Amino acid sequence: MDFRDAVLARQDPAFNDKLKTASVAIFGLGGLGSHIAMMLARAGVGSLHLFDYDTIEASNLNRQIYTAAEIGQKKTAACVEHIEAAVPYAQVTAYDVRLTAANIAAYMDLAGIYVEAFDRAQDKAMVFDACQQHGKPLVSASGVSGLAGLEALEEKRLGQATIYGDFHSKMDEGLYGPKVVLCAALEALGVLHIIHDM
Amino acid sequence: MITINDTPIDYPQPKSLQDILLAQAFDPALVVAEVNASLVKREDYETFMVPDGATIEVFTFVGGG
Repeated sequence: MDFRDAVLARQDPAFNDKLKTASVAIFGLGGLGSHIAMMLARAGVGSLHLFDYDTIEASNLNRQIYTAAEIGQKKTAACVEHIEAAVPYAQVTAYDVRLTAANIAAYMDLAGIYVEAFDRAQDKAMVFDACQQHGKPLVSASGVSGLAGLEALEEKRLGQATIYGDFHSKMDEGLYGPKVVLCAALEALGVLHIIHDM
Repeated sequence: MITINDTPIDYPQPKSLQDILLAQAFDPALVVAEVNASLVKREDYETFMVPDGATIEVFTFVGGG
Protein backbone atom coordinates (compact mmCIF):
# COMPACT_ATOMS: atom_id res chain seq x y z
CA MET A 1 0.00 0.00 0.00
CA ASP A 2 1.46 3.37 -0.94
CA PHE A 3 1.36 6.30 1.45
CA ARG A 4 -1.66 7.97 -0.20
CA ASP A 5 -3.66 4.76 0.08
CA ALA A 6 -2.64 4.47 3.73
CA VAL A 7 -3.71 8.06 4.48
CA LEU A 8 -7.05 7.57 2.74
CA ALA A 9 -7.75 4.14 4.25
CA ARG A 10 -10.87 5.42 6.06
CA GLN A 11 -12.41 6.80 2.82
CA ASP A 12 -14.19 4.88 0.07
CA PRO A 13 -11.52 3.40 -2.28
CA ALA A 14 -13.54 4.04 -5.45
CA PHE A 15 -14.07 7.68 -4.41
CA ASN A 16 -10.35 7.96 -3.62
CA ASP A 17 -9.59 7.03 -7.24
CA LYS A 18 -12.02 9.70 -8.44
CA LEU A 19 -10.49 12.30 -6.10
CA LYS A 20 -7.04 11.56 -7.54
CA THR A 21 -8.15 12.71 -11.00
CA ALA A 22 -9.86 15.88 -9.74
CA SER A 23 -8.37 19.35 -10.11
CA VAL A 24 -9.50 22.26 -7.98
CA ALA A 25 -8.48 25.92 -8.05
CA ILE A 26 -8.80 27.91 -4.82
CA PHE A 27 -8.95 31.70 -5.10
CA GLY A 28 -7.73 33.15 -1.80
CA LEU A 29 -5.69 31.48 0.96
CA GLY A 30 -6.98 33.29 4.03
CA GLY A 31 -9.46 32.15 6.66
CA LEU A 32 -11.48 30.17 4.16
CA GLY A 33 -8.96 29.16 1.51
CA SER A 34 -6.05 28.04 3.70
CA HIS A 35 -8.35 25.54 5.45
CA ILE A 36 -10.13 24.48 2.26
CA ALA A 37 -6.77 23.79 0.58
CA MET A 38 -5.58 21.70 3.51
CA MET A 39 -8.88 19.77 3.77
CA LEU A 40 -8.99 19.00 0.05
CA ALA A 41 -5.32 17.96 0.01
CA ARG A 42 -5.89 15.66 2.98
CA ALA A 43 -9.01 14.24 1.29
CA GLY A 44 -6.87 13.23 -1.70
CA VAL A 45 -7.81 15.78 -4.37
CA GLY A 46 -5.23 15.07 -7.08
CA SER A 47 -4.36 18.56 -8.22
CA LEU A 48 -4.69 21.85 -6.36
CA HIS A 49 -4.08 25.32 -7.81
CA LEU A 50 -3.74 27.91 -5.04
CA PHE A 51 -4.04 31.67 -5.61
CA ASP A 52 -3.14 34.55 -3.32
CA TYR A 53 -0.92 37.65 -3.45
CA ASP A 54 -0.89 38.54 0.23
CA THR A 55 1.65 38.09 3.02
CA ILE A 56 0.86 36.64 6.43
CA GLU A 57 0.04 39.14 9.21
CA ALA A 58 -0.50 38.69 12.93
CA SER A 59 -4.23 39.43 12.52
CA ASN A 60 -4.55 36.35 10.27
CA LEU A 61 -3.54 33.88 12.97
CA ASN A 62 -6.92 33.77 14.76
CA ARG A 63 -8.48 31.90 11.82
CA GLN A 64 -5.88 30.88 9.23
CA ILE A 65 -3.56 27.86 9.21
CA TYR A 66 -0.37 29.90 9.46
CA THR A 67 1.99 30.32 12.43
CA ALA A 68 3.69 33.26 14.16
CA ALA A 69 7.02 32.23 12.64
CA GLU A 70 5.50 32.65 9.15
CA ILE A 71 4.46 36.31 9.58
CA GLY A 72 5.76 38.25 6.58
CA GLN A 73 5.90 35.19 4.30
CA LYS A 74 3.75 34.80 1.22
CA LYS A 75 0.53 32.87 1.92
CA THR A 76 1.04 30.84 -1.26
CA ALA A 77 4.47 29.53 -0.21
CA ALA A 78 3.45 28.91 3.40
CA CYS A 79 0.24 27.11 2.43
CA VAL A 80 2.13 24.82 0.05
CA GLU A 81 4.64 24.05 2.82
CA HIS A 82 1.86 23.13 5.27
CA ILE A 83 0.19 20.86 2.73
CA GLU A 84 3.42 19.16 1.68
CA ALA A 85 4.32 18.57 5.32
CA ALA A 86 0.93 16.94 5.95
CA VAL A 87 0.45 14.93 2.75
CA PRO A 88 3.65 14.98 0.66
CA TYR A 89 2.07 13.31 -2.37
CA ALA A 90 -0.30 16.24 -3.00
CA GLN A 91 0.21 18.00 -6.34
CA VAL A 92 0.00 21.66 -5.41
CA THR A 93 0.75 24.64 -7.64
CA ALA A 94 0.86 28.13 -6.16
CA TYR A 95 0.12 31.35 -8.06
CA ASP A 96 1.37 34.53 -6.38
CA VAL A 97 -0.99 36.77 -8.29
CA ARG A 98 -3.75 39.26 -7.55
CA LEU A 99 -6.76 38.15 -9.55
CA THR A 100 -8.70 40.92 -11.27
CA ALA A 101 -11.47 41.10 -13.84
CA ALA A 102 -8.69 41.78 -16.39
CA ASN A 103 -6.57 38.66 -15.71
CA ILE A 104 -8.88 36.03 -14.20
CA ALA A 105 -9.86 34.57 -17.60
CA ALA A 106 -6.27 33.37 -18.07
CA TYR A 107 -6.75 30.95 -15.14
CA MET A 108 -10.21 29.56 -15.95
CA ASP A 109 -8.96 26.49 -17.85
CA LEU A 110 -6.64 25.24 -15.08
CA ALA A 111 -9.12 23.24 -13.05
CA GLY A 112 -12.41 21.40 -13.20
CA ILE A 113 -13.82 23.03 -10.06
CA TYR A 114 -13.30 26.54 -8.68
CA VAL A 115 -13.45 27.65 -5.06
CA GLU A 116 -13.99 31.28 -4.11
CA ALA A 117 -12.34 32.04 -0.77
CA PHE A 118 -11.81 35.79 -0.96
CA ASP A 119 -12.47 38.41 1.67
CA ARG A 120 -14.10 41.21 -0.36
CA ALA A 121 -17.64 41.03 -1.71
CA GLN A 122 -16.62 42.50 -5.09
CA ASP A 123 -14.01 39.76 -5.52
CA LYS A 124 -16.64 37.11 -4.73
CA ALA A 125 -18.87 38.59 -7.44
CA MET A 126 -15.91 38.68 -9.87
CA VAL A 127 -15.26 34.95 -9.38
CA PHE A 128 -18.97 34.19 -9.79
CA ASP A 129 -18.98 36.05 -13.12
CA ALA A 130 -15.82 34.30 -14.37
CA CYS A 131 -17.16 30.83 -13.51
CA GLN A 132 -20.53 31.66 -15.09
CA GLN A 133 -18.80 32.91 -18.24
CA HIS A 134 -16.53 29.86 -18.51
CA GLY A 135 -19.14 27.28 -17.49
CA LYS A 136 -17.17 26.14 -14.42
CA PRO A 137 -18.68 24.70 -11.23
CA LEU A 138 -18.06 27.11 -8.35
CA VAL A 139 -18.18 26.71 -4.59
CA SER A 140 -18.35 30.06 -2.83
CA ALA A 141 -19.01 31.60 0.58
CA SER A 142 -20.84 34.72 1.69
CA GLY A 143 -21.52 35.76 5.25
CA VAL A 144 -18.87 34.13 7.45
CA SER A 145 -18.54 36.87 10.07
CA GLY A 146 -19.88 37.15 13.60
CA LEU A 147 -20.82 34.40 16.00
CA ALA A 148 -24.13 33.14 14.57
CA GLY A 149 -23.79 29.39 14.21
CA LEU A 150 -25.35 26.46 12.45
CA GLU A 151 -28.88 27.90 12.72
CA ALA A 152 -27.84 30.84 10.55
CA LEU A 153 -26.00 28.95 7.82
CA GLU A 154 -27.53 28.22 4.43
CA GLU A 155 -26.68 26.63 1.09
CA LYS A 156 -27.80 28.33 -2.12
CA ARG A 157 -27.56 27.06 -5.70
CA LEU A 158 -27.32 29.66 -8.46
CA GLY A 159 -26.59 28.14 -11.86
CA GLN A 160 -23.42 26.05 -11.45
CA ALA A 161 -22.52 27.82 -8.21
CA THR A 162 -23.11 26.61 -4.68
CA ILE A 163 -22.80 29.29 -2.00
CA TYR A 164 -22.49 28.69 1.74
CA GLY A 165 -22.72 31.11 4.65
CA ASP A 166 -25.25 33.09 6.63
CA PHE A 167 -25.59 35.46 3.61
CA HIS A 168 -25.82 38.66 5.68
CA SER A 169 -23.19 39.02 8.41
CA LYS A 170 -20.73 41.85 7.90
CA MET A 171 -17.04 42.03 8.75
CA ASP A 172 -17.64 44.61 11.50
CA GLU A 173 -19.25 41.77 13.47
CA GLY A 174 -15.76 40.29 13.72
CA LEU A 175 -14.12 37.30 12.07
CA TYR A 176 -13.86 34.30 14.38
CA GLY A 177 -11.99 31.09 13.63
CA PRO A 178 -14.78 28.63 14.46
CA LYS A 179 -17.33 30.38 12.21
CA VAL A 180 -14.92 30.90 9.31
CA VAL A 181 -13.60 27.33 9.52
CA LEU A 182 -17.17 25.99 9.66
CA CYS A 183 -17.90 27.77 6.37
CA ALA A 184 -14.56 26.58 4.94
CA ALA A 185 -15.52 23.01 5.81
CA LEU A 186 -18.88 23.47 4.07
CA GLU A 187 -17.09 24.73 0.97
CA ALA A 188 -14.64 21.79 1.04
CA LEU A 189 -17.53 19.37 1.52
CA GLY A 190 -19.33 21.04 -1.39
CA VAL A 191 -16.28 20.33 -3.57
CA LEU A 192 -16.29 16.67 -2.53
CA HIS A 193 -20.00 16.47 -3.46
CA ILE A 194 -19.26 17.85 -6.93
CA ILE A 195 -16.40 15.38 -7.47
CA HIS A 196 -18.53 12.51 -6.14
CA ASP A 197 -21.33 13.33 -8.59
CA MET A 198 -19.02 13.80 -11.62
CA MET B 1 -46.35 44.56 -10.56
CA ILE B 2 -43.08 42.64 -10.14
CA THR B 3 -41.75 40.66 -7.19
CA ILE B 4 -38.25 41.08 -5.79
CA ASN B 5 -37.13 38.62 -3.11
CA ASP B 6 -40.78 37.79 -2.34
CA THR B 7 -41.77 41.47 -1.99
CA PRO B 8 -44.33 42.79 -4.55
CA ILE B 9 -43.40 46.14 -6.08
CA ASP B 10 -45.43 48.51 -8.28
CA TYR B 11 -44.04 48.56 -11.81
CA PRO B 12 -45.62 51.26 -14.01
CA GLN B 13 -43.21 51.11 -17.00
CA PRO B 14 -40.60 48.78 -18.51
CA LYS B 15 -37.24 49.18 -16.83
CA SER B 16 -33.84 47.56 -17.17
CA LEU B 17 -32.72 45.14 -14.50
CA GLN B 18 -29.96 47.63 -13.64
CA ASP B 19 -32.52 50.42 -13.01
CA ILE B 20 -34.67 48.16 -10.86
CA LEU B 21 -31.70 47.02 -8.78
CA LEU B 22 -30.55 50.61 -8.21
CA ALA B 23 -34.09 51.77 -7.38
CA GLN B 24 -34.31 49.02 -4.77
CA ALA B 25 -30.91 50.01 -3.27
CA PHE B 26 -29.02 46.95 -4.45
CA ASP B 27 -25.41 47.40 -5.61
CA PRO B 28 -25.39 45.79 -9.08
CA ALA B 29 -21.65 45.03 -8.71
CA LEU B 30 -22.24 42.81 -5.66
CA VAL B 31 -25.34 40.82 -6.58
CA VAL B 32 -26.40 37.78 -8.56
CA ALA B 33 -29.83 38.23 -10.13
CA GLU B 34 -32.32 35.71 -11.44
CA VAL B 35 -35.35 36.87 -13.44
CA ASN B 36 -38.08 34.25 -13.67
CA ALA B 37 -35.60 31.65 -12.39
CA SER B 38 -32.98 32.39 -15.09
CA LEU B 39 -29.62 33.93 -14.23
CA VAL B 40 -28.87 37.22 -15.94
CA LYS B 41 -25.20 38.01 -16.61
CA ARG B 42 -23.98 41.18 -14.92
CA GLU B 43 -22.86 42.60 -18.29
CA ASP B 44 -26.49 42.36 -19.46
CA TYR B 45 -28.11 44.14 -16.48
CA GLU B 46 -28.33 47.48 -18.33
CA THR B 47 -29.94 46.05 -21.47
CA PHE B 48 -32.14 43.36 -19.89
CA MET B 49 -35.69 44.76 -19.86
CA VAL B 50 -37.70 43.21 -17.06
CA PRO B 51 -41.17 42.07 -18.17
CA ASP B 52 -44.24 43.04 -16.14
CA GLY B 53 -45.15 40.29 -13.71
CA ALA B 54 -41.54 39.09 -13.40
CA THR B 55 -40.22 37.40 -10.30
CA ILE B 56 -36.71 38.62 -9.48
CA GLU B 57 -34.45 36.96 -6.97
CA VAL B 58 -31.41 38.96 -5.88
CA PHE B 59 -28.54 37.42 -3.95
CA THR B 60 -26.06 39.88 -2.47
CA PHE B 61 -22.48 38.91 -1.67
CA VAL B 62 -21.13 40.17 1.65
CA GLY B 63 -17.46 40.38 2.59
CA GLY B 64 -15.48 38.31 5.07
CA GLY B 65 -13.24 35.30 4.76
